[in-house]
Amino acid sequence: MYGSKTYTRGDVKKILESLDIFVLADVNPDGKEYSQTVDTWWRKNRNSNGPVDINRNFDFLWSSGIGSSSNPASELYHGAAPLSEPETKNVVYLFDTYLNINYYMDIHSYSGLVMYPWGDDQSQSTDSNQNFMNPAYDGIRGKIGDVAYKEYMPKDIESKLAVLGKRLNAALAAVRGTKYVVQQSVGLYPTSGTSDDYALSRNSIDPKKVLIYAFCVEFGKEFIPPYSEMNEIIKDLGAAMTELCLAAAG
Amino acid sequence: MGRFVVKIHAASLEKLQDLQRIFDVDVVRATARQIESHFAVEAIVSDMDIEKLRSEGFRVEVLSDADELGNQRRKEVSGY
Repeated sequence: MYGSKTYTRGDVKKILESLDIFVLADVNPDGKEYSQTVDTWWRKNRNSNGPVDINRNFDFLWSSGIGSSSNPASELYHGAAPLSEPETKNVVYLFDTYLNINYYMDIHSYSGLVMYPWGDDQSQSTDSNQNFMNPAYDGIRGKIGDVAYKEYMPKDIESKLAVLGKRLNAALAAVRGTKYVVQQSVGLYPTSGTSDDYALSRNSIDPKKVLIYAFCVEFGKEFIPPYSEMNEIIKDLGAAMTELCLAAAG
Repeated sequence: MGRFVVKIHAASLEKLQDLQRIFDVDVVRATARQIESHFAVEAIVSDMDIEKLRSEGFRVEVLSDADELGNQRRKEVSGY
């Protein structure tokens, strides 16, 4: 039970008996410790050679510079190489070790969004040549509203992501009436090196790998909500995560 | 040097994206919105950044004192 949203014993049984669930409760423990003791607004990891924004360090258009930086002083520093950071490697280890993971949710603050790939550019389903692996489009991606490039995503995958995103949002809204917006990750600021794009891209790079339906949730209305509000947000997110599990359980 | 949570308003999407691309502002990208005919995004910036951005033609709305807010929040969870 999450606020007004309830799940039955049968729902819980279905989830527990049909799924393996992996929870990385804190991908960036060193960064969190620093934010709780020294600088509240700290978001990167604590790499002594230049702290890295972990969510720009994944191997998805890493070197493109789209919404990321090669300057270690930047809040968007993407690291010395793709997957260079132990925090990033931990996530990838799960994907590489447990080969049947096909749903993924990355949780951040803030803005009240349920997002799904792609984040580097708007998506389209008609020209499969316009894809992140095609070097002919290097330097052209990441411009919102243009016609030169849009990231390819098969229609059935985008439909499933959109439908599932709305389902997660409906579960979240049922807790206490908070409604998030469901949208493609790119929004108004394109990105690269993010975990949800990386998760989905694995199957595009190697079709033998399982297709991972990936989401990124940006919770709340501020970076660090008051503790009392955070307790309510945890219920919102609990419902969304449970709904994702139910969807995965089929 | 104080830090502030702000909402930055820009006349065009291109100008809004310049915040990250050219001025290396720590924007909260997920908060970017079109508001009628202009665009806005929240960010954490210093008082010097605010002056600079205003001189570059951005409208900067201060939402809260980030350092003060940060101290309050940190005490709630860690007591430091």
